[in-house]
Amino acid sequence: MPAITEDFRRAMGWLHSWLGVTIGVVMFAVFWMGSLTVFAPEIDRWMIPETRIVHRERAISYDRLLANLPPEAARSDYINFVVPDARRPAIGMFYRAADGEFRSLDLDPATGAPIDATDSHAGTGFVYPFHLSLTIEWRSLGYWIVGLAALSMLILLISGLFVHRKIIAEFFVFRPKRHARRATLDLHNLSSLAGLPFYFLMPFSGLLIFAFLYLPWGMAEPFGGKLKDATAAISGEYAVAKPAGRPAPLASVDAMKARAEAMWAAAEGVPVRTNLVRVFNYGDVRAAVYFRNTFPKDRVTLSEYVAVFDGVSGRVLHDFAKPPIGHASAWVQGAHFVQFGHWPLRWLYFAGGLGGCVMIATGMLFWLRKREAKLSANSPGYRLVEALTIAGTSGLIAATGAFLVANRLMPADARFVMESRADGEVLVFWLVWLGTVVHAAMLRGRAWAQQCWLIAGLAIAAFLLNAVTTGDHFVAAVGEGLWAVAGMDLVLLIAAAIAGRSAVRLSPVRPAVPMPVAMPAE
Amino acid sequence: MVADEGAALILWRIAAGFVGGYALTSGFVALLGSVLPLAGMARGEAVSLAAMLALFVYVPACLLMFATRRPLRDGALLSAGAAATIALARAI
Amino acid sequence: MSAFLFLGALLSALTGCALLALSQARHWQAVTGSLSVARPGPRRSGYVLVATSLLLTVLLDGAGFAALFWPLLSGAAVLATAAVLAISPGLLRPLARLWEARPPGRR
Repeated sequence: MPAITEDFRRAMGWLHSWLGVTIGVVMFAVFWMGSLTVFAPEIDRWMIPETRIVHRERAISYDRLLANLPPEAARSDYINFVVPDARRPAIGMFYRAADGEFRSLDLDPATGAPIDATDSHAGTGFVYPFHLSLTIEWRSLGYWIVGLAALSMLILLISGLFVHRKIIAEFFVFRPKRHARRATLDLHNLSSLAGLPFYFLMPFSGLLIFAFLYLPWGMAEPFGGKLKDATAAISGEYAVAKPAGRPAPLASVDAMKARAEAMWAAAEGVPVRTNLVRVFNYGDVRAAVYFRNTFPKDRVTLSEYVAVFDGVSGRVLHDFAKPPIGHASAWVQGAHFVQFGHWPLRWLYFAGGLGGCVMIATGMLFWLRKREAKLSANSPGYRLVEALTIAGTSGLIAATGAFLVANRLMPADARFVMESRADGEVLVFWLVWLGTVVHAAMLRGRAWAQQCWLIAGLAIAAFLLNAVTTGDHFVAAVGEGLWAVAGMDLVLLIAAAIAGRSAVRLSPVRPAVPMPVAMPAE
Repeated sequence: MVADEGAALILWRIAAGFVGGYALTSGFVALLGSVLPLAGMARGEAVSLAAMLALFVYVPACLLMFATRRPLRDGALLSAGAAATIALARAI
Repeated sequence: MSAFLFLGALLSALTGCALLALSQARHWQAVTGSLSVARPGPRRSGYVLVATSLLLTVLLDGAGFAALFWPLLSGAAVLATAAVLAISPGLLRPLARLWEARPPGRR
């Protein structure tokens, strides 16, 4: 292999700065929302207060739940229960309605009755989909943009290693008191190196999770081009027959569940529990019941087992266990999903994700700082990158804060121009984000401090509004064992403190003319 | 060197790296997923393995297209390689 | 037991990173004011401690978790070390004394 020439270094430097500045905003958005997704169920509890239930281990009878289904659900050919746990204490349920759309509801774990919950997409319904598709559903475009950002991230990490000359010598170096450009680069290098394995693993595993979407031809070709056969062999998917239209009673789902878990425990040597209880063709002679241990708590590897039973006879139709390579792949994917029960690691993921945000933001900031003293700093290209960097980082965080505040302020029957209250919250998010773009384009560098003040204000408002509208203020939440709520509140306070401090530090030395700060829509 | 080039050549590097690299990666996954079963590996396992290795093809392909001093030749080679793996995978 | 393993992993990662930083002339000088780093210096002990933290995370909850936990824990330790060096390097002086006090050639 030829030595690393100066030419090669320059080429990598060119690639690193231009690819970074082109895709940086998307990467930041994906990392920011990904960091929040680590706590998506906790965000759900905060935004949907009716589901703030203290979890108790209790035997849940799915037979009883099925016997008491809402009428529309009882006619569905696809009824799914998500087994509750400490982070998702309500029984999650979704079903395919007659119009083909999925409806979801939360069931009280004690009574099985539907909970009249706040209509919000919250963490699982907005933050999480934003992380993986920017919620651009049209022809899966959002997934492809995020995929491109993930690929770019891997390229950036490798090219960055070649750009950075003194990796070892400057491993622990951070000089905040040196001039801003130097300090920005130090922080960029430091945050990159500290989280390097994590930053490699996240885009790698994220792309692997969607291998069927990103490489459909390559994945299906070995199966004669049949993608369904590929998913069956790799993920254990099972094609259930269409309903026959002849009614038949369903055998005990609880008995099937016990049998599935006993089969898995025998194979594994330790107890294995199911996360999903899915009934196909309920009430039909061709009913089938499907179990999967999607997210085990005691290991990283996910979805190792699938069992499908004939709904009428209770006979095993399909018994799938991940083979060795599939197992390795499931570990890599589990490392991205973070559904295991390991709190220190979960917090480190959150910190690692935020570290990634720092790495990306300081990278874009360094690009700007390098050029700010030059004539080109007034070119449209520079101003575009400047506005996108400000709005893409502090603006996005402010929009997230507005999303939380809107959740607490919006009345139950609010509709806006959207279909539902939940969509209204999302609309507020987008409007505030758009506002920060305009704000950044107009005020340029001064926008940083103002947007940081906005973040601090929104975080404190969200903290107070939770206390006022739900009564579960921080102290009460700790007292009642509502750790999700207490944790969210604590993070909001810390965010406000950091944003406030940043605002003070970023404020120009001479006081600027006070500008009205864009307030979230109420 | 990429930093001193005109737009046309840079666009060629981007296209060959990202699009050509994508084709090569698809071909690689299909080929490995088809060849390993001939040696007795389960087809699902072969495709799982190929999917995990895919980025070890794609990322270097992109890096190569930006690092090379002979973008026309290397881009053509990469595209030819993609065509060959895809054809081979289909033939098996 | 697991609390001890966790604390042990955390402490060994932190001290390990601090020692690795001290093994570099620039940080040694910032902490002790002396130009010459003790030879062979704290580098070897730094590596041993970082490796110890890996071992402890494996003992804590197996290789499957340690493969994720240890790199992130080490990364946090690197950041913490860099922050201490940037804000108040004097905090590391007691650690540096362990090496100062010994005549060169030992440890």
